[in-house]
Amino acid sequence: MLLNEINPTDALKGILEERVTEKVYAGDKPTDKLPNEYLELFQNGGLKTNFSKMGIVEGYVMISISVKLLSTGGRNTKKENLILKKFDDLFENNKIIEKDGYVFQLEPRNMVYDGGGIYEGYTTKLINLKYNYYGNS
Amino acid sequence: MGRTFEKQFDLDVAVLAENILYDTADAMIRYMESSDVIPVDTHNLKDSTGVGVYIEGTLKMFRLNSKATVPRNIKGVNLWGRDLIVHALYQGQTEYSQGYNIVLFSSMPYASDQDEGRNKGFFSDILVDQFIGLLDEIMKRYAAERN
Repeated sequence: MLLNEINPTDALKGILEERVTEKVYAGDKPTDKLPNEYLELFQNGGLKTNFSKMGIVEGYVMISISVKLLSTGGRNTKKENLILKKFDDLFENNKIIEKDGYVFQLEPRNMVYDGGGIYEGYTTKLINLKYNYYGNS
Repeated sequence: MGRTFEKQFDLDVAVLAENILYDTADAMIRYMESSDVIPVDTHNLKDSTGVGVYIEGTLKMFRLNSKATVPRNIKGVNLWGRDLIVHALYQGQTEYSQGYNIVLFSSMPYASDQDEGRNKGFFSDILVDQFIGLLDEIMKRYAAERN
């Protein structure tokens, strides 16, 4: 296994695309014509190798959930809550999600940010997921 | 038994350190929001001034003021700090990859001009002094002190 072959954001994108209807980007977000709601995935921090427990490599992926503001300029809290509910269901009771050798779970204190000011015309929630990678063999 | 205790102690210390940094970040944002210390024009400077908490290079908490409704336009380019997150994550992987870090930042390119010109020392002195003061105050609440 080579460290530069580890790509948790692509694996998570695959998982989410099977479960949510919102567009999911992982390094391929266009600069314009964005949908009213979308998710974006980022590697958050470096990879940590851990050969003694919990898998070979561990790290964090940050999910950015962006929801367009209402025409009044207010938050679309209904839509925000609908999307968050999907995550609650996905990771209910500390459930782990596995794909292609990756194991993802929600951090106990997972909400990094919740508000506006990051993307023009959108509110953004940033959520941390922890992952372990065991190799794909 | 000894190792279990040691591990639990390490976890407790980590939670304590995280709590101190999270509380300080919240307190700093409250300070900036409640006062008119940041020069306000279109609010973008205020918007782009925030606090990040990094633990071992991972961005764990991010706080921003967010009041701007109009982008700051400089030389025909609208600046919303739209690459803010990418920049913040990159900083974690490079500058703050080790240990516990709390970072006061401003992503607007003209912030340094403000600091050196019209509002001399605003970021580098006034805000930083306030930041350190709040950190010390919150550490005392947790019976800890900065070394």
